[in-house]
Amino acid sequence: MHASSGVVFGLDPFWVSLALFALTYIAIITERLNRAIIALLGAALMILSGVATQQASLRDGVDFNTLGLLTGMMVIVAITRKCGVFQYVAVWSAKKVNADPWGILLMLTLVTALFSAFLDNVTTVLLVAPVTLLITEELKVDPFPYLFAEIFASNIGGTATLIGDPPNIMIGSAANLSFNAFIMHLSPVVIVILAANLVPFYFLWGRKLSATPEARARVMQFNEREAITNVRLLKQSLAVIALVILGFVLAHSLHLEPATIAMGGATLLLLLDNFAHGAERQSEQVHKTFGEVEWITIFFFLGLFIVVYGIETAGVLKWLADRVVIWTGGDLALTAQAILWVSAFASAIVDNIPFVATMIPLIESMTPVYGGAGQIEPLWWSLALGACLGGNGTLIGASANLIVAGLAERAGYPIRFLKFLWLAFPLMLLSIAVSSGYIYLRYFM
Amino acid sequence: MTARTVMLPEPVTIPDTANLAQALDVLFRHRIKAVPVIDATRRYRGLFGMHGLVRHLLPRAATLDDGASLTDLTFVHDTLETVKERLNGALNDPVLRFVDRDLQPMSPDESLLETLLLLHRHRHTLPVVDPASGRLLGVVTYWGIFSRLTGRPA
Repeated sequence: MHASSGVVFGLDPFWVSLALFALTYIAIITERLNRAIIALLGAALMILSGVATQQASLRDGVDFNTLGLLTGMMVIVAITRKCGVFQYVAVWSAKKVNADPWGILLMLTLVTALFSAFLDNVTTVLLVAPVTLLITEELKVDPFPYLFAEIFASNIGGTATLIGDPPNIMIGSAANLSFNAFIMHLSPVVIVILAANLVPFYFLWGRKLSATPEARARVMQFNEREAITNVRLLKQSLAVIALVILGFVLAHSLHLEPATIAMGGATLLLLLDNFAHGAERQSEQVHKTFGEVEWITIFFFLGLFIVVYGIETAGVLKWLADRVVIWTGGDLALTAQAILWVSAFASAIVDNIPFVATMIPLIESMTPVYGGAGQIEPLWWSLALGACLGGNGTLIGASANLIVAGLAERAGYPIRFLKFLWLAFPLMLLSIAVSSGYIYLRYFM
Repeated sequence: MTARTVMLPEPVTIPDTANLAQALDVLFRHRIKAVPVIDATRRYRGLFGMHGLVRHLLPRAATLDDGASLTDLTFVHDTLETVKERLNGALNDPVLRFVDRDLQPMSPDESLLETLLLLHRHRHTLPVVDPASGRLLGVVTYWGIFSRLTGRPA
């Protein structure tokens, strides 16, 4: 194995890093400690034990492109949500279908999928779920089908683009895949998967949902225009979001990284939101906006990148990649399917972020065996589909699921773990089966 | 000076077996905004007040907290009838459903300035509870404080 130069007590870095990695993972699964604390602790121990140096960890381990992209998008959303545009869209879509309960379920599912393709999933459900609870309360219908559909839509929609879900951000950044590549390779199958899920939604709930004419009239009396609280900010936000998306589309030809575009957009929106105010109001507003960035997620990423760098630099991932190549007999199609299904099951149980953070260097080290970066591209799409869609399998499979469950509980409609599992797991398998067929037909026929 | 010296002893209370209608009755009869709820042995169970009750007149989605609530309700046009319906639907529910559980009761030994600070922060009546037995000893109210300061009857 590897020479144990700088590692404590002269231990083999292979085993020290593997033990630290395993402990970090176990701690994340047991959820006794906040995940950011666990990841930072794991990272600190990787460096203190001598497996990796701080300099190398920060330079080669931490993907600042991912961190910058996440932070930038979080700032943009924090400012945009103030103007009420998301409430506007949700109410508008409910009224478009004359407040028909199944129509509203369809519309909110589509709106959630579309939002989450461009925003973080957690943000999306935080914006859509409260309006949903308001509408279902006025309609006097059970909110469960709506919230369930929104959880699914947020994870499915997030799969469609580079910026829709953290795993995609990481994959795109590590494998140098563009915004457009994600649209070309993932969006088509995501649309099919979303449509495929609407069929069981209809038979489970859609055909039975009904509301009284009075209740529907109450929803029709909502005035979505009054939901817009700041028209100037609305225009500025939409302009910046349009610019940012345009930036993502052109990023490859402009030789720009996504983090530059997202942080650039965030800075521009901060500027527009603040330049008219005095110094004191500015620091107050900027402070509040930065406060809404989910620092737990950012520091969780930071720590994990270093933990994963530890096992990478100690040779664990290379060793594991060699085993995978042997098991699959070096068959690329088989490897793609294995990655898809393993990712789906793993992501249904553990957070998909640490899983993907580990899989990325693993897949990277298989590149030479399969003949270069161009050849292994299907493996990245398999990983993205498995990791993002797998999150739908259980109530703890993705952060968005837990957020919705928490909101529902506080509103007096708790979502039970088993009730969710019973419906969600088979539907998740359906999504993965569709993805499996897509991967085979598109890349290996 | 401690909370004990500025509190009103023997305040109006509501038994924890009351329903919302009976509790509301007490508020109206005494024209006060908040009343402690106690059990048969005078143990403190929570504070029932107008502020907590207004929350139940709103759609649940508006009071979820943690940055997840609706930012405003300007676009919803519920009528007085709808709001009445919400209140009437709850009149037979136990009062304990409507008490403020987050409010920490005060110890009688709290210093005077800490008592004033808590009153300033919470903006409503504060229950004073014996830490050992959990029994209600009195309440700190604006009226009680200013009557001590100005010498007027509370």
